Amino acid sequence: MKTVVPLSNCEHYEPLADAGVDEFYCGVIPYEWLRTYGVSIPINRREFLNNSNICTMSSMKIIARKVQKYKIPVKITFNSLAYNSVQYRMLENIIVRLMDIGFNTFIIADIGLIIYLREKGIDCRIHISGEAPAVNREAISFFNQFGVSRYVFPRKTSIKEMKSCINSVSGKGIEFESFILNENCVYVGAFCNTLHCDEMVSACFIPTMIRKIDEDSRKFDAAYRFISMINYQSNIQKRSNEPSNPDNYKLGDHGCGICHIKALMDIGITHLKIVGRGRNLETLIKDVTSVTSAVQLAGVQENKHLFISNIKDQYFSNKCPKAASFCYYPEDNNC
Amino acid sequence: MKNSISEEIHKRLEELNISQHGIFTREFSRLYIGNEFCQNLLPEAGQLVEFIQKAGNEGFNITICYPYLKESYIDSCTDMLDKINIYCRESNIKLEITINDWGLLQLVSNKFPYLSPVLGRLLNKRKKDPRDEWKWKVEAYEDSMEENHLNEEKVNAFYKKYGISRYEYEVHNYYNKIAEGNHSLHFPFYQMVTSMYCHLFNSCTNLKGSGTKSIKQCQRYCSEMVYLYPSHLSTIGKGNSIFGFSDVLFKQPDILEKYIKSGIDRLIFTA
Repeated sequence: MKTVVPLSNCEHYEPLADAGVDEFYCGVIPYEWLRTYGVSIPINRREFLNNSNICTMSSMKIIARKVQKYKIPVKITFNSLAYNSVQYRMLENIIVRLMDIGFNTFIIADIGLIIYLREKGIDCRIHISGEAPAVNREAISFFNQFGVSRYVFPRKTSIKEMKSCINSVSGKGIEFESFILNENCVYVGAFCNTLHCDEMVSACFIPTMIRKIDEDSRKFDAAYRFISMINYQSNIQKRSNEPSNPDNYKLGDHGCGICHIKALMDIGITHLKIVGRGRNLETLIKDVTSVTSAVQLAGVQENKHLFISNIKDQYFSNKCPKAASFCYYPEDNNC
Repeated sequence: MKNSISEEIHKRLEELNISQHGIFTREFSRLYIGNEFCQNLLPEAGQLVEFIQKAGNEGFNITICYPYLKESYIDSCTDMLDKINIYCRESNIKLEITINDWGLLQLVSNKFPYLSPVLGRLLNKRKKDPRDEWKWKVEAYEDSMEENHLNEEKVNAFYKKYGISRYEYEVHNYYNKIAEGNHSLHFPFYQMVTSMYCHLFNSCTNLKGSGTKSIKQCQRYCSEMVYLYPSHLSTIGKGNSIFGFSDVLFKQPDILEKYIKSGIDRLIFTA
């Protein structure tokens, strides 16, 4: 089981490699895209520059040399939900240039881009992004026609559901990746058509309150008694868009599935994704160290429940930082 | 439902005080039955067939709405589609079904020949956020925002292989450049974001709005409660989704005319 970690800056490669990373993913915004679209039309799901994307092909050449030396591969994400015809042609050019430099694996969400690349005979490796999404065995069967080599399960996919999907294609050499740490979005990225930019908060952070449609209705009175408390809580518990601060670091504070690594390993997940392009290097190294240590423990710990209890004891003093609020796998929790 | 469907529709338009608007001069001719965003709002298979029969008897064409398809729902989905397929075979009809999941497309194309797939709104992806217009320099990119993968010929040819020739669009804050062919346009609500868990259910049952589990028994809290957003955003949250509201088709008939000339031959109104 391998850890997949974001690479936001070519200088981060060596420190993260030393921390134990098995694979990197990064976003690239070449000059021609910036010149044509800025970040208003995003090339991937980090719709801003802010240290989240690599912005020059020369940086990618440097990274390619590091890959040759350190043998830790880097895949590149073009996971915007939608591109148009003009952009497919531009992306084809970008992808071919990246392949010439030495990168041959791309994370893609837009089926139009997948169709376009395969029709053009571009034989790159494709990882189906969690933003596609492929959340059932029939979808995996559908995407297999494109020669996909890995599926990234989106957030909100339970371990039981992943197991069923993986079993449907066992023996075909396909890899499966799942989220393990950070940024557990309250919605599903694949169905989120809203802004993810640095100018405004994401839609899930916009202040909101629950109200009855008909104030005179007495249906669900018991539930509605909690509502004023919810409305107050939801306004004080809004997560910040601010970058992570190493002084306030808490493992898994905004998304965690670390105690389920053993269960994920047992069902056939091959790669664990740590989210966080743009995240502070120091905090990312702490994330990587924790996850790789947990993976090593999962490799030797036979008993799943003992594994969970060891992890919670080691990292969380026996209780999750925010219980089920940001748990990646709440369906599989017995807490 | 004791009243006729037409009576219920007219009653609802009267309640909303829009029955006299010019956009409703023609009678409604098609019903969209089901839900494109939430599994828990789908009727039971038997109930669905009854709705289809009633709608058919009253002269309505029917489109079945189906949302994304979690792995845990594959069996129940197959069972429902099987019942509908059998009904269609026995009645010698074909029914449209909205495809909002790639797995559903695979299922329908392989196993259910009496269901005609149309590309649903969850797979017609594009930026839809009422705050788009406030992004820096966004006006320079409006043309690009009007298009998505459906404007690519290779994609249209791919969908045709699966029997999809109709796409479902939505009116939102930017114009949609419509693909070749005849397509549908939903108004006045457009989907902004959807979850596979229900925040409203979570809020009503355990004080938490995220990270909780699939619903075993939906109480339909969304029939009684909504999420309200700041009024300048024209946005509302229902159950597991957030929707924007656009009154463009009510207030700008030239836009409607432009859509019709572009290939929109069906308007779908959500009350």
